[in-house]
Amino acid sequence: MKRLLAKLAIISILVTSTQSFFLISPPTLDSANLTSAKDTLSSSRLSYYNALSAGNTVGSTLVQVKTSGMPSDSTANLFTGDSVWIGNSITGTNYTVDDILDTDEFQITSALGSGDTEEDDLVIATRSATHTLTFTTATAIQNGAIRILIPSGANANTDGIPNHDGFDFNGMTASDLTQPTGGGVTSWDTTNAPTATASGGTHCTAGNHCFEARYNGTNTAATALTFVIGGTNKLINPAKSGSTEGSADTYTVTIQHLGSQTDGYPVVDSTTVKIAVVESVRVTATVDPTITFAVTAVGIGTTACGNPVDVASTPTTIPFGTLSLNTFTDLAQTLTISTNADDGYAVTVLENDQLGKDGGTDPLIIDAIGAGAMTDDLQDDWHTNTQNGFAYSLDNDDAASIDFQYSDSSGGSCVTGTFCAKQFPANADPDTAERIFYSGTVADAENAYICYRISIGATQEAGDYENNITYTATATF
Amino acid sequence: MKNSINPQKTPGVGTSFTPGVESLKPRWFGTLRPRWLRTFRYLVRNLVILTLFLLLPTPAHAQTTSLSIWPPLLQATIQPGKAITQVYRLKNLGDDTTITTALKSFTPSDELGHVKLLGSELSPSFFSFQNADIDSFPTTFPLKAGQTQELVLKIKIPANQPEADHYLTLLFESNTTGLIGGTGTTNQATIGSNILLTISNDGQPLKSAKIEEFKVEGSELPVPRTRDDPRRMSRLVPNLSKIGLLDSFSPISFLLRVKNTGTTLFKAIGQIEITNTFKKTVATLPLREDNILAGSIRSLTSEVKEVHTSEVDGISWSPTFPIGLYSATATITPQDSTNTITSTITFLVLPYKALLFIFLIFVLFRLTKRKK
Repeated sequence: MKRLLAKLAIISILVTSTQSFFLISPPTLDSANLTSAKDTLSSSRLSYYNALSAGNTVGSTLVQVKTSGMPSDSTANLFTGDSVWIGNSITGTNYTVDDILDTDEFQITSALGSGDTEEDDLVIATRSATHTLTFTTATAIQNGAIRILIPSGANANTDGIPNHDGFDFNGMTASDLTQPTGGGVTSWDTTNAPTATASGGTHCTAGNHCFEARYNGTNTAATALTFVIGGTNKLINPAKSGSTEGSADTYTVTIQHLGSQTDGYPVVDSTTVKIAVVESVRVTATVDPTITFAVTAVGIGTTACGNPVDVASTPTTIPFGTLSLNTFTDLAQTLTISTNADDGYAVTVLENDQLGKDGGTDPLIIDAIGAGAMTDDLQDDWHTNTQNGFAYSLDNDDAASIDFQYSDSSGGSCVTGTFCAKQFPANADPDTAERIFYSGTVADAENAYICYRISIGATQEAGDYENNITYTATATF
Repeated sequence: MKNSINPQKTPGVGTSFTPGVESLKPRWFGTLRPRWLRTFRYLVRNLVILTLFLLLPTPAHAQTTSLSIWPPLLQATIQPGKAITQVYRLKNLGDDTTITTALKSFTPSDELGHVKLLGSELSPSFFSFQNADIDSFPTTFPLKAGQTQELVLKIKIPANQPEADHYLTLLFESNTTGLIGGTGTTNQATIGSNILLTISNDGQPLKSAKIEEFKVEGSELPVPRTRDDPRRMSRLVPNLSKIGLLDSFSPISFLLRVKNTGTTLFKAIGQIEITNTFKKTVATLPLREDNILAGSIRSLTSEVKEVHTSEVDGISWSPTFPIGLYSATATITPQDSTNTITSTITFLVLPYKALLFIFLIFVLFRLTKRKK
């Protein structure tokens, strides 16, 4: 009995000692987490997946979409310039979004075609993204591999159409992957890897798309690696999964460090990262288009069209006053225009008639002919004061385009560059208004001088001569 | 002498001093009051007034005639028998004035979208202002400096009005009174808002277009001509004479003129796609969606993304040292239609000016060397 008790005591001591040894010096754990792991998406925008509501018609650029029952149930997350595909399983067409009108309507740049207007036809805008995975390995493994698992969703996850529960494979191939480099390995396999396998493919269980990079040799433990998924083809981001608009949908990406090929690539280290995809926020503001036109006076002595002004003008009058024979009298006004209309503006001029005595039709101070060729359509030099009459010229400050200037030495019949002038078109003749300056785009206070010049001869009948000139500013249509 | 002046014998001087107050002052002060104090008080009073004017200036009104209108363009499609209203906002940024409104038809004056005003073609009864205090056309109303007037324009199309486009300009003319007093000119500033009106029963009038002209602007390939066969090279290489030759260091611009061959206006939507010698697309130039009125031609321009300070007419392409044979395909679709039209041109881009310069240098060098 004593011997039996002694044997039991010895066995107990041995067992306890062995247990204590293992407690004090536990064996190294085979599996660990990769550290500093993250997946950066080049675009975290959700894809758009909706359907047409009733009432769409062929030839219309107005598209009406559903507001319930679809992953994207409004026009939120659609933007001007987006390419949308509208159609069904038989036919479909790509359109470009021109404007978002409200929560269930948007405008496209070309009309809806036949077969693209039926209720429940899909409205799809895909948003693809490159996934850049960075991580630090935990274990040194010989002839191992890196595998990335990205959620695929349950159904139709390789058809190039966004899903509401995962990323679509979108025809990716090995050429769309950039496998890690370095890491202390002998070489990264470029013959049989990297590989891109759709969910449910060879060695890729359903539920995730699989991307693998394999290497020869042994990696350095705790080495930072980068695996880029996405090249010409990229995974398509999911559409809304049903969560509240404005809140992100999150998906779990798994990064695995696999054991050696001879062991059948077992998972040695593994870690997961969360990625979030969300609608972009549409910021809108409306700026009303306007056009503003001003005529301002020019004072005595101001140089306009190369000459000092002899008499001050007002915004509404050009008072030449008493004229000397065969002497130029010069006046000017400033015309200023601003518009934020895209297509710009044009300013035209038209006189009611030539300067008539007391505003009548006879006698007249005729419109000048300058050196002999001047009309309301054709400019000509006018620097000899015995060539009597009334005409105008232009002096550009910062107008985008001006039809002619006083200093022109070409164009029309002008050659000297001294004072190139034109007759005012007269409504009584009848002429049509003549454009004097313009812009093909928005304009910020663009202005030009309009210069009036008059000279009379000895035979001009005494009296007051008057007429009326109208400047009209219109936006380009 | 000053002490002998008796203030009480100079009426109107020192009237603010009462005898009682005066009696409290030093004797010499009272005797100096009449002239010295009058001058002093005069100067102080004027100085105070001048200071107040400087510190509290009245609002300045610049000598300007200035009007601002919103919106500058109204585009509408209306069924016969229907009506629409549009609010216009007119602001006087100049001096007090009187505004006269008018409505005139217009046609395009050029291919850049500018208007040529005509007499009105539509019955004035189509158009009316809904403001209680403003008559319908032609109407006149005062507009003070800084004042904004809202005008509600109603366009009502009679039920029997045929389908057609009507292009009009709503004009606001400023009639600020001006006096000349001798020989001179009065002038008015007029501002116009264009109205592009389409009368259509179904709202989908047929839209069709034609590319009237599409070319690269610049020199064309010089075709060698002989006395016997002036187009010999053209015959050897088909369409050679149609190929434009451009210099690699010069800007490349396109002229694209599109004609509206339908009966209603449309916005031209499209682009120019450029491919290189290897048929690879090297550039896509989006076009601005300009309106092309029925029966008219418009020179299209590049889409404007930024504010420019210079004219932007035309379509330009600025590649980095282009060289080789290029093709440019213009594709235009009238908005709300599927009638897409295309046109393709080919052009050759070579650094021929630089090559010519090098060749001339080489020849001169050889000639110089030969003389030695």
